[in-house]
Amino acid sequence: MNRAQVETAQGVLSGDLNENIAYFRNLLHADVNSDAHFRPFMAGGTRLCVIYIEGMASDQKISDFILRACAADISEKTLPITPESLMERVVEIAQCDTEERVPEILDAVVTGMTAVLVEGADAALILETRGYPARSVDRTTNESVVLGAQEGFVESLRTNMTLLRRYLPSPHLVTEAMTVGTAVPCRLSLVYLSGVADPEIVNRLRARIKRVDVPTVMGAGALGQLIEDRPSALLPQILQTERPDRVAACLADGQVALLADNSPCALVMPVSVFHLMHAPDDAFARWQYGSFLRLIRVAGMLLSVFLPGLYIAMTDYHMHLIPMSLLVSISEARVNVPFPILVEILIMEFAFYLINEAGTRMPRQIGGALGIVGALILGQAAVAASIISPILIIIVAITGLGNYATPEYSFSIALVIYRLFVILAGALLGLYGICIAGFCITASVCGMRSLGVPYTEPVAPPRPHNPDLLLRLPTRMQRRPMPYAQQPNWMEAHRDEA
Amino acid sequence: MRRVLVLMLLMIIPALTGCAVTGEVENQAYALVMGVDKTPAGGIDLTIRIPRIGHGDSGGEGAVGKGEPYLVLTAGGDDYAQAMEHLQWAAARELNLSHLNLLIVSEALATGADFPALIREIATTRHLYATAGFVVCEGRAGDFIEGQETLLGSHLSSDISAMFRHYAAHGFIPGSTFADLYYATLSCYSDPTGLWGFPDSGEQAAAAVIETDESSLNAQTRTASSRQYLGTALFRDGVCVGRLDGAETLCLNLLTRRVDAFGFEADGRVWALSSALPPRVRARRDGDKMRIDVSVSLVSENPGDPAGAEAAVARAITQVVDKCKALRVEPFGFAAKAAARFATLDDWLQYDWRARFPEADVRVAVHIATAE
Amino acid sequence: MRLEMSRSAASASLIAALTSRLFYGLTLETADAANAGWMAALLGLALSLPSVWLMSRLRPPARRALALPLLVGLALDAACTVECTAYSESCLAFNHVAPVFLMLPLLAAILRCAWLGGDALGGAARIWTRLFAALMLIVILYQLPYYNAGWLMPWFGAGGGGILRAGVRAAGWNVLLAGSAAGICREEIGFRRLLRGLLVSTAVAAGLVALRQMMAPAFTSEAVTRFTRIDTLLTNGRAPLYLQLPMIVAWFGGMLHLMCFESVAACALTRKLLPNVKEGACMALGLAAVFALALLRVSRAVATLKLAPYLYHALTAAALTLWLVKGGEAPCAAS
Repeated sequence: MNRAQVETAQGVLSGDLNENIAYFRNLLHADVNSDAHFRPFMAGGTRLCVIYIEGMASDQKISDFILRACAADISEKTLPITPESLMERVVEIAQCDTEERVPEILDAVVTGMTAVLVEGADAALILETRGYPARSVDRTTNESVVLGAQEGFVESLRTNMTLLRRYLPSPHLVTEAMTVGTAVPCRLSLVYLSGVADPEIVNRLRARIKRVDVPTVMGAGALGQLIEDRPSALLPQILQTERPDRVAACLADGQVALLADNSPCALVMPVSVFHLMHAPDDAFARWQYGSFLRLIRVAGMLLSVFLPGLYIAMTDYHMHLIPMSLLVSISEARVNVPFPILVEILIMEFAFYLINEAGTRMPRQIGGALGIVGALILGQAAVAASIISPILIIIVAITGLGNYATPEYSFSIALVIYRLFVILAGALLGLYGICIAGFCITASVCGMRSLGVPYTEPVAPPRPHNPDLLLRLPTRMQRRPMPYAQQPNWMEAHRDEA
Repeated sequence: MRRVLVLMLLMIIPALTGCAVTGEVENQAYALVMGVDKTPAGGIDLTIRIPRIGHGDSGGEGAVGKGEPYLVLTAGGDDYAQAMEHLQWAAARELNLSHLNLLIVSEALATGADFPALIREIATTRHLYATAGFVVCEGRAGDFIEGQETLLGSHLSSDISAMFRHYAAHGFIPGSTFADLYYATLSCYSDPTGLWGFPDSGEQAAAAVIETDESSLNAQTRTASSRQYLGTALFRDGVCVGRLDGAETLCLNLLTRRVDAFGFEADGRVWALSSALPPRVRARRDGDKMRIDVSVSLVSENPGDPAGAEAAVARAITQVVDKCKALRVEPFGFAAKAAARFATLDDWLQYDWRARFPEADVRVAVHIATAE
Repeated sequence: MRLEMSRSAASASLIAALTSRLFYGLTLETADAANAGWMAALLGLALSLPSVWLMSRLRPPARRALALPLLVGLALDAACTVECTAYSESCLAFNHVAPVFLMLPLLAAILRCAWLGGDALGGAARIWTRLFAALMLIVILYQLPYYNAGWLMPWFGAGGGGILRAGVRAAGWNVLLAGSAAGICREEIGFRRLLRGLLVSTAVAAGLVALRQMMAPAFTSEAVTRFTRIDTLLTNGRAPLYLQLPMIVAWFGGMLHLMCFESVAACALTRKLLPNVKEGACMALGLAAVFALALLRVSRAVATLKLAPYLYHALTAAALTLWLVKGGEAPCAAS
């Protein structure tokens, strides 16, 4: 093994272009990989080679701003040709840098950048030539709002960062580039407002990302599971949103966001259970409307968790709590139903989840059939066949509506699981069981943390806070400290001045 | 440790056998009315009225005309507990007393010396809804229930509730519940009351409007029901010792609460009156004697000087008070006011209000304002 | 240590637990004060203040020594609460079920709560206090037409002796729970914070006791059973049926917080007494003691009827003795 082979094997470039090319060809499996391109060319009498991945890098940018520039602009002043001289005097691409380490060069190439190897140089020039196809910014699909911005994140990290910059055009907006994944790195961007976000929280998140020791991470959702405080807990401890305006609002409150390449959503931390109850457009509506809608939503969530359990508890054990007229109606409806109420509820719940899941997975072209199946089978046939009672359809429908009113998808699924727990508690022990279940759920929620911050903060433990938790109070009352932000911070100072 | 905890929890869950005793809603027999009678042999007869479930006509709206939506069941025993057990068998479904609207006892039973003990026994019946109206009826309670018709064509429960609310608002009946009777027998304040029920013989329901004769307030509207509720059963130490008719019940109500609207005959005309405020009652201790000042404020819909009506109402109320004094019964709620003149319950019990009430100086002042 | 609590968590738990303890103690367990139960609550506050002050000023070694009497009191009182909760459920719907089956879910809830830690319990207590206020507001609004203020007369109920007896019991519960809150707090909780907890709990409990007294007259008959008292409390015959739902939720929620606080505090104090024993083992030990007492029904016989009045004297005497022997004036944190 000669010196050049030794150096490349150690992860740094040697001065021998042929050796370097061979090494990269080997690393990129160029003999079988048809989209890995190595384009040698001469400039000013020096041999160079452009390395890029077809489709990831823009052919046009490479032709116009690298190859053509090198062919045209080489003069005496440029000689001798080095990566530095190319960067300073020849190449017409704004974002470029030199890099000596092979792994970094390789990472850059596979993510769409172009590397220019120079004969005799122990560094490569890395040029920003990414030009892969990406979805354009579009309406959000899961977090629709009536008022407010409609655009959502896309799969491109750069576009997502741009979107955030548009919402928060501040010099204090920091987007720290990081990667995660030991074998196949995934590009991340840690975003926060410097001087607002608590440095301790930012450091904690950095440390957690560093601790991630998996070969590959497929997007933000997978990453969230690796860095959350308690993976065994039911409730999400990270807010996953596809709305840049929502992330911007969180950043302004001192929270930290994490964007990942190929993920059309951001992870926001730390969050409280109250954040998960807030809809993105709460802040855009007047406080009276916002408060009213939030009350409806919270009532919906409570109904979603407790209504079926209460129904079974009251019909099985506490009939005295049901007015006589209703009791007679329920009894009449149930006379021909062959199953106990618990089984009846479980059948209906299962059918409901099934329709829900089928609706999500079903091709759009046949989606209309789902409504027919749901309405006919559940609505009519099941009642006609006395498999379930009509009152239960009302209960399950209200429960489902309450669940759909939950603004956060993961949170809504957690509520469904809690609902099953409450149903069993109600079936076994009536209201007593529901009280115990409610107590256990509350204690569990209070015992959780998001990025080290208590999940029910600022209520428990109490912290001075903005009253915008369950109700949106008048904006003049919303000038209190932000619980997650560092104290003092410039954002608050501006609010106080206002 | 975590494994041990999980194992313990898993062991606990199957042990939660609560669901083993679950009673499905349609498998219950909901008693809406329960009657208690004393048999000639000294035993107890219980009669209940339950809606028929599963026939599509269980007392629902529009049930009238589809056949009898209710079942009446009777069972007897040597004592209340045994009768209740037999009733459970007769019901053929799980008897549920949690929606009881009316508890009816026969006059013979209510006037018996062992009635207080029976009250306590009834009160400790599992899941008996104590807010049920409490009625003392003439004749057998079982027969009374058999003759009870649905009036409004709707559920018996809502029917009775609506009827009682209506009668109570107009002062014809006291708002007595079984809970009131039970609490009062265990306590040391005023005596409890019950509603008075009687089979409609046709004579007492002669007119549909207020009459102008002396017993105008005893008039009843003619209804489809052959059972009527009017007046008050008076209790002393848990035993029924007398009754007040409709007019007297109105006076009783004027001393205890607001009465929405009633007619009163005075000066040869009928005054349409209503209570403006609840009565103001003041108690003062005058040596060993208690002086009670009651001020009743009424509003008249009729024009004219109400002085005559004021005197007539005051006279009628005083007569009722005197009647109760003669029976040594104090159903007016004066006891709570009088008790405030004592430091402790012991002092109050020693004073023996129920024995002293006949000596109390009760002064009634009635003021009638004319509505503008 | 997981079982310990922060200052704010201890304070919230103290309020949630003590309110329930005073309320159920003065309405169900103690008939001594009759219709002057609310006065007994106020008297209990006055009597307990010196003892609580002493406890809050004890030095750490003395406080560790005080853990033993507190632990005994907590175990018995927690057992008593477990038994009463199960009994009230039995009255409400499960009269055919053996008490042990009604107690086991409570054990599961307490285990879960202890596993989550003291701070989780404190957080839950803080949320509960708000929910409890909302529930009681609904209850009061519905009961409003049925309240009879006359039933609060005569003012002094069963008289000075009765009020004093009930007041001493209330003071015992105050001292027990406030002392435990101070004992399991990982920071110095300070007298002022304890005082605030006592004041709030007493005010709320006294108000609720008075309101409850206005719903049912003072029972002077000897035939009144515990069942009757629970029945008049939960399914009061003077209130509409639908009112029972918020009342039942408020009742069980309060009782759950009380028994969890007492059980978690018992475990934490066990750990304090046995610092070399693992936390999990302390938890198992403390909870086993509570449930053994509850299942053996020792709790009803001893704690409720005999121990409660002496709790105050015993804890006060212990605090005073430790103050004199081991010294007081601990550096208190600003509260």
